[in-house]
Amino acid sequence: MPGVLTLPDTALTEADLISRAKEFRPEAWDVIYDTYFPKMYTFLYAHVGDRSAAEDLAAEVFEQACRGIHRFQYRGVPFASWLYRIAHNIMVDFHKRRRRTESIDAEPARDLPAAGDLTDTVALRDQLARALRHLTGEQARVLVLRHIEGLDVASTAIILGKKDNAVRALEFRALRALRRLLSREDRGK
Amino acid sequence: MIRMSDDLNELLARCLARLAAGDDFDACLRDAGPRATELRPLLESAASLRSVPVEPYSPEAFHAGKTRLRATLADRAHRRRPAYIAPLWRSAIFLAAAAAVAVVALLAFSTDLFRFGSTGTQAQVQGVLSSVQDGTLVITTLDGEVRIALRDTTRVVDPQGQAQAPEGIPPGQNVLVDVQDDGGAFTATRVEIEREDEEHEGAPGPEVKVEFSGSVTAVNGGDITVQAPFGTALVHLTDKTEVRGNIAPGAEVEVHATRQPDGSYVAKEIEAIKGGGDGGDDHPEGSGGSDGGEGGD
Repeated sequence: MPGVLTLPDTALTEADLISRAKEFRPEAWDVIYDTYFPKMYTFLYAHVGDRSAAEDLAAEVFEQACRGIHRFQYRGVPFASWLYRIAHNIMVDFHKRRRRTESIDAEPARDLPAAGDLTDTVALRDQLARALRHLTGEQARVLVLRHIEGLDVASTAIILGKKDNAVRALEFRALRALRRLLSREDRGK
Repeated sequence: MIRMSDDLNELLARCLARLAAGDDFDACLRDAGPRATELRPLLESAASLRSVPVEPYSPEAFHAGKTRLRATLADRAHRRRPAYIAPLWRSAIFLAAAAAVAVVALLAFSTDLFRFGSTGTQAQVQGVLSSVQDGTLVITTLDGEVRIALRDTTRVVDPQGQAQAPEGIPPGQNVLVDVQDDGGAFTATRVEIEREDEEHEGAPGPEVKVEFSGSVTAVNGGDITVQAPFGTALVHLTDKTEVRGNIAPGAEVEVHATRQPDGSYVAKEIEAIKGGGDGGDDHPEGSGGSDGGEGGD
């Protein structure tokens, strides 16, 4: 199945991995980091539209996961789902901090593209990043997993801990909300 | 009840699957018939997400992140490790620990201060409070509904850390509950009401159904004011609200609703369970409840 998340160490089930991670065993955390860093980066990049910030925030996901691993209860809910939630919270905090800094420094809003130096792709990326931030966490996650990471419904359902039908319904609502947000932006131009 | 959006949802899912399999965008729309105009913007939104390239991360950043993780890991592992104890002190420490255990055991048997024999484990539940019923919190989480019993000792705190009564938590509020799991029976040790102006990951969205009861104090067209245990609730009726009984000032009502971002509620069902003229479930008025009130103040 294309895009299915698998852990590279086939001898380890996810439950085993979490159990070792809770013991702070470096080899378990290496597997976690190597497997999920690219995914966390992609998720965060889609929301912040800035490589350097996304790299920094993706690293923060694993620091926070390490500090909070004792709170994670493995009850069949995928570990990836928990990491995506951490990533979402980090992203929300990042934007709050950025808004505060911008208001203090009275800088021009970073979201407004400077005339003439942005390609259409960059402008669209920024527009989508802004729109994704206004969706609910679940809606944003389903869109990133399905349409940026390119996972199929079944793989997305595993990560989100939902049934296939629930993922389809969530995706429908998310696309509808995204469309509304993009139209609103277009009208505002 | 099948809604138009359900059809569109199905169509969208089919089209996205076809596109992922390499089918043509226009062919999908053609097959959608009259729904093509509604489907097109959704497919375009999906396509726009796919069209934006993700700049790859640098190998340096990847390794720097791993270094940060290892530092955190070392710090955590260090905190767990018992401090080095000189061999000469070991026996003294052992004796002190044994004495402490004896004191604790004595307290336990004489005062019932500590519970022994418990197989309970601690956990946290994050979700939306659906209702408080008979000393039980009903919490809707991403994984479904959880019932957590309240104890006399359960501490409930608001976002500022101030203590409050469990009945004072408005249904629909995001909460974080410290739970004791006693072999499948959950009891709450602490309930933290989360700030409303923050996003709440690990919690379901605003569509969570909540329920509460209270007494109607005013009816104003489609808006009803209900005095509930958690305070005054403004309940909006819509043409989809199922109204049972006579909803009038003085009536005791049971409300099934969703909470809005402004703290008001949109009722799915409202039922007069006592008072309010000829109320009660013997007199269902069916749906279409925006005129379910009788004037009011």
